[in-house]
Amino acid sequence: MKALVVEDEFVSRKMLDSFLAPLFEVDVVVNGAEAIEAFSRAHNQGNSYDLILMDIMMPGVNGLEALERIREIERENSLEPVKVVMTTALSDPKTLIKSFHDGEASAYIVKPLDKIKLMTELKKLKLITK
Amino acid sequence: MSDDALFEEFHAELYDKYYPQIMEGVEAMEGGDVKTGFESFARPLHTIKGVTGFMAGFEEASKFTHKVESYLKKLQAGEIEHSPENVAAAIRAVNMIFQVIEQIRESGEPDQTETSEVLKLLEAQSGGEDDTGQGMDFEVKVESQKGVNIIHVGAPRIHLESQLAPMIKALEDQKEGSWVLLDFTKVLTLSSAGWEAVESFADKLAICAVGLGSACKEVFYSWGFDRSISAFASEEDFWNSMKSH
Repeated sequence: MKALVVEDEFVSRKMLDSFLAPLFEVDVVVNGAEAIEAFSRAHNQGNSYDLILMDIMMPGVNGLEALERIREIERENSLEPVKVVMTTALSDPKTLIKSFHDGEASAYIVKPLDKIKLMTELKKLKLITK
Repeated sequence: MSDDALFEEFHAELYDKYYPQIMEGVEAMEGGDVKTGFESFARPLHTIKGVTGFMAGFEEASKFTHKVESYLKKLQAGEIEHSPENVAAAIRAVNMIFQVIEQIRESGEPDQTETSEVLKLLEAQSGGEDDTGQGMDFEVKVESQKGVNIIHVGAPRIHLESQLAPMIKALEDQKEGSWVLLDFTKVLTLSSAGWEAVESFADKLAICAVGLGSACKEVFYSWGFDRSISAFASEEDFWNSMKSH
């Protein structure tokens, strides 16, 4: 299985990479624009992601904008929606609701990150069994 | 974030935004248009499931919505017949979501008797399958008829590499220059990447396809795969066309 980590902050990036590496082939990008590009490239190569972990506050294209663009690409190409977990320090109701409604996020994790929180969500999404 | 602030924001959205969208969906379904109904339901129900899963005490609402959403997905995919009974069960379950949220808000928990009754109804209407909708008797079966190898594909959805692999392996096993008929009768959706993988064999095999459902057809024709793969409405049509070869 393939995962894409979208995270501008170095420590979070390393942490998520280390949590996922035993289970997924992990690619890492640092902003929303790169996330859209990585998503499209993987799809064009017939090697799509099974999971995207998306930070929200990032320079340039933020995580919510990137996710909305990814959903548009999926609709345009009749693709099965990729599972996207928002991983963010933002915990306000508007961002949470917008993530599920406008971005059709699969799950939402408020930082600080830890392995148990992440694995619990991946289990709920049936990406892992144990 | 405080649960009160989240609930207030969510509750306002629930009735200002999602309720009208859902009622549009109910009207469309009552009018027999399941596809439009599902499109109106999809986003608000996904939001209700996600946000209630995040609110302490409302996890039951999230689980209930998830089950309703799974039933609707099966209905939309044609895995459940669009009979008046099945559509009525969907509408009842969707309405029940609002009731469950209000019951939790008022008394801390939903009315278990009523929610169990609705969930049992959904289970009965969907033939008692699990909520993954991935039931499958076989991955791939290959048989030969009149010099044509027929590959019957059993997976209902083919998007991941693991779902695609058995069909690709069967294609790899074919001798160069042979006729192959792919039977997609049991397949509900096949991604463009999946079609591309099949198409990559078109330069060494004569590939035909039969049994394409509406979602498969949409991707097949919109991406132009009909240029290299011949699709037939039925096996009978395929064999009739073979007579001319």
